[in-house]
Amino acid sequence: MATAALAPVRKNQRIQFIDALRGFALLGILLMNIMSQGQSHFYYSAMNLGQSITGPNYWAWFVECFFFEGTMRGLFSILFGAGTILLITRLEKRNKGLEPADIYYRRLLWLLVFGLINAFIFLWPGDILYPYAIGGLLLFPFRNWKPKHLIWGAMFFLAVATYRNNSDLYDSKNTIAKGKAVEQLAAQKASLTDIQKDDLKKYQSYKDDNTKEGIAKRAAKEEQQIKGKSYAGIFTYFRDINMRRESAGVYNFMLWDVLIFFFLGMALFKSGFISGKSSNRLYAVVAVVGIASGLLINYYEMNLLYGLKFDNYEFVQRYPFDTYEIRRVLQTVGYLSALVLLYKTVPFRKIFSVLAPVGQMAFTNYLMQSIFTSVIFYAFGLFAALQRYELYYIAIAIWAFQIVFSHVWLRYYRFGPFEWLWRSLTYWKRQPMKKAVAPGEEEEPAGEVIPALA
Amino acid sequence: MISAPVKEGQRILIIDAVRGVALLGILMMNIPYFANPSQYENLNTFNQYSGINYYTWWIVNFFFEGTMRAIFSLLFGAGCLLLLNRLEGNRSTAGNAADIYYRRVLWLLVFGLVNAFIFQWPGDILYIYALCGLFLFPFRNLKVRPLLLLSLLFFICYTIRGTYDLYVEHAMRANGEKALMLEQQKKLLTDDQKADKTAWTAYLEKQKPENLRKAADKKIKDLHGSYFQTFALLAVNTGRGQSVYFYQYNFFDSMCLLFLGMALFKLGVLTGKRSKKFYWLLLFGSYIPGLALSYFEHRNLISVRFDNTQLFSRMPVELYQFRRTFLALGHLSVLMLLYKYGIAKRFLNALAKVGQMAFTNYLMQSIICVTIFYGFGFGLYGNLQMYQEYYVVLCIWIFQIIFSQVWMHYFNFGPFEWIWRSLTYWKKQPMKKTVTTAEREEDPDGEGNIVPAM
Repeated sequence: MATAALAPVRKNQRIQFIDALRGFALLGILLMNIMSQGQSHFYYSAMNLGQSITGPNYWAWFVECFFFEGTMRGLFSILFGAGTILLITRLEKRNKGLEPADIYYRRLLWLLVFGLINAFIFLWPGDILYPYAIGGLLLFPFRNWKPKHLIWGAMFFLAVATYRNNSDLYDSKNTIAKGKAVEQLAAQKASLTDIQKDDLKKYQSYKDDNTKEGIAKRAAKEEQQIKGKSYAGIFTYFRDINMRRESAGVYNFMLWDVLIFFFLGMALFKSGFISGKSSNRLYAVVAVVGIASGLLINYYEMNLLYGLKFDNYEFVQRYPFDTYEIRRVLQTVGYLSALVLLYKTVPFRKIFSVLAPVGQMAFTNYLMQSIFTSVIFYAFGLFAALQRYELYYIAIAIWAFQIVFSHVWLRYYRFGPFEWLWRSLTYWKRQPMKKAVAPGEEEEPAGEVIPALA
Repeated sequence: MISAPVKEGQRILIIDAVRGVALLGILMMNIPYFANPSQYENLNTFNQYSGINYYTWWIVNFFFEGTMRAIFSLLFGAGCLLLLNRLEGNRSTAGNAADIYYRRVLWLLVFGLVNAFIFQWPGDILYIYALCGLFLFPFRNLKVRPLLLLSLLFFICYTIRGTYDLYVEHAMRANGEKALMLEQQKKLLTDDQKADKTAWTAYLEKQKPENLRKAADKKIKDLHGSYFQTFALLAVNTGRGQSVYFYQYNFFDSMCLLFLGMALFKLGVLTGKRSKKFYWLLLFGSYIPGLALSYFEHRNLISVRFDNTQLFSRMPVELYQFRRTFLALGHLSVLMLLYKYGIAKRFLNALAKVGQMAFTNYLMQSIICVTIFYGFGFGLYGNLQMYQEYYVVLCIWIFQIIFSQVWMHYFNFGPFEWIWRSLTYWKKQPMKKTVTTAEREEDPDGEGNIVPAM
C-alpha cells in the first residue's frame, strides 16, 4: 500500500465512513441470513446433503462460512456500540439534564418493539433488533468509561460467552459418553437403574437429532411446516422459535454475543480507532493478525465439519474447544482494521461513498431484507426450492436494489422510512421527512440521524 | 382526626411499614419452596384434603398467595419514582440521576444473580425487578392515566397468556381422551393423535400420587448434596426461570404492578395521603372482588383435585393477576386505615424498621432458609410438614424484627443496603449513625436510607 495515498480522515468524512461501514455490514449480513431464510435454518452452516456438496454449492458454503459468518453481525454490533456513544454525546451537547437518557431509552424501547415486529410479523426468527435493544438497555451507564476499561468489559463478556458455549459443548460430550457407557451395559443385558435409563434416553434423542440423518430429518420437517403454508401457519411455526430465541436464546447466548461487540465498539470509537486516528502500522498489524488467526481457526473447524459431512454428533465428539466468539472477535476486528486502512487509501474512497447511503438508512434496509425474503421465499414459494449457490443470486439482486433505493431515497428525504417512523415514535411527534428547505440545515444531519442501530 | 396533610416523616413511616409487612409476608409464600419439594404444595401428593396441613394450605393460599409479592412490586414501582424525584430535585444529583438510577438497577441485577446462584434461591425476585427496572425510567413523567393504561395493558397480556395456557392444558386432555377412545374402538391413529395420546398418558402418569412422591424424594435427595452439587442442579432451574419464565410470565407479572405502583404513588394512595373514606372504599372495593375470585380459584382447584387440565372448563379465563392485585390492595387499605386511625402505632413502627432495611432482610431470608434446609446446612429439607414450616417463619420474623430494630438504632442503612449504595456510588458510604435525624433529611442524595427503591 503506497503510504503517499494515505490521508487523514476529516470529521464529516468520519461520519460518512461509519455509515459506509454500516452499509457494508448490513449488506454482508444478508449473505448469512439468506441461508436460513431461503431454506431450513438447519442448513445455515451445514450443507443440505440432498444437494450436491461440491462445485458451486461448496463454494457458496465456503465463502459464507470461511469469510463472513459471524463477522458482519460482529461489525454491525461494533457499530451499534459506537453509534450509542455518538448518539449520547450529541444528545448531551444539545439537551439538558435527563433528556439524553430519556431519548436514548425511548429509542431502545421502540427498537424492542420493532424487533418483535421483525421477528413475529415479518417472520424472521434470526432478528437481531430484539437482542440489540435488550443489550442496549445495559449500555448507558458505561458510556463514560475509558476505552481501556471498555476493552476489559468486552473481554469479560468474551470469557462468559466462551465459558457458556463450552459448557454446552461439554454437556453434549457428557451426554454422549454416559449414553455410550449405558449402551454397552445394555448390550451385556445388565439391568439398568432409573438414572441409567434416563441417560440412555437423553443420549438417544441427542443422537437422533444430531447425526447427519437426524439433521436432514429435522430440516425436512421444518420445510414441511413452512413450504406452501399460509401466513398464519408460518407465523405459528415461527412464533415458538421466536419465543425460545428471545428468552433462552438471548439469556444463554445472544446477549453475550452482542455485548462483546458493543463494548468493543464503544472502546474502538472512543479511542479513535474506528475513525482512523490510530497509526497505519497498527491497522496493518491488527488486520493481518486478526484475519490470519481468525481464518486459521475457521479453516480447521470447517475442514473437520466438511469431512464429517456436517454430522454434528460426530463433530461434537472431536471438537475440543468452542472458539466461536474468539474467532469472531479476531476476524471482525481484523476486517475493521483492513477497512479503515482501505478508507485511508484515497483511491478506494469512492467505493465507500457508494455504501454510505445504504448505511445511513440501515434500519430500513435491515427490515426490508426480512420483508423481501419473506415475500420471495414464503409468498412466491421459492423456499427450499433453490440450490445453495442460487440463493446468492437473490442476495445480489436485493443488494443491487438496496444500493439504488438508498441513493434515490436519500436524495429526496432526510431519513429512511423506518428511520423516520422510529424517530417520530421516539419523540412522539411527527418528524419532518423531506430534505430541509434551508440548505444550512443539511450541514449537520440532526444528531440522531446516526441510527444507534446498526 | 387526621385530616391534616401528612407530614414528611410520617409518610415515609407508612411506606416503610407497608414494605416491612410485604417483606415478612413474602416469606410465608416462599417457605414451602425453601423447605420442601414443590410437589408438597400439591395436596394429592399425601392426600391431604383434611387436617391441619389442609387448613394451613387454605389460609395461606386463600388470603396471601401472590399478594405480598404484589405489594412489594407496587412499592418497587413507587420507589423508582421516589428515587428519581429526589435525585432530580437535588441540584447535586440532578445531572446524573439517570446514571445513578441505572447503576443502582444494574447492581440490583448482580445481587439478584448472587441471591439466585450463590445463595441458591431459584425463587429470587431481585433479578426480575432489575430487568423490569431497566424499562421504567422513560415512563417516570407519565401522568396517572397513561400509567394506569400501561398497567392494564400488562394485566391483559398476562391474562391472555395465562388463559392460553389453561386452554392448552384443556386441549391436551380433550385430544388425549379422544385418541384413547379411538384406540379403544380399534381405529388407526394418525401421527398427531399418537402424539396426543403420548402427551396425555405421560401427564396422567406424572400426576399419580406415588409418582409425585417419587419426584419429590428425588428432589430431597438432590438437595442433600454438597454445596456444589446443589448448585449445579439448581442452576439449571434458575437459568430457565430467568430466561424462559421471565420472558413468558414474570415480566408481565411484575410490569403490571410496577406501573400500577407508579400510578398509585402519584395519586398519593401509597403514602397515606388519601382520606379515610377513600381507604374504606378501597378496602371494600378490593376485598369483595378479591375474596370472591380467591374463593373461586381455590375452590376450583380443590374440586378438580389439582388437575389443571380441568380448570379451563370451569372458568375459561385466568384471573389470577386480578385476584391477587385486588387482595393486595385490600391488605394495603387495612394497613393504611390502621395508620390513619393511629391504631397499632408500635406495630407499624417496628415494621417500618424492617421495611427500611428490606433489601438486607430479603437477602437474609435466603441465607437463613438455605442454611436451615439445604443439605450443606442443617439439612431440614423435606423434613417438615406444611404447618411446621410456619414455626420457622415465625422465628425468622421475630428475629428480623428485633434485628432491624437494633441495627437501625446504630446505623443509617442495613448492611446490604450499604453495600448496594457503596457500589452504586463506587465509594464507601458512611454507615454509622452520627448525624441527627434533622440532618438526615438533608441527605445530599436524599435517597439511600429512606427509600430503598426495592
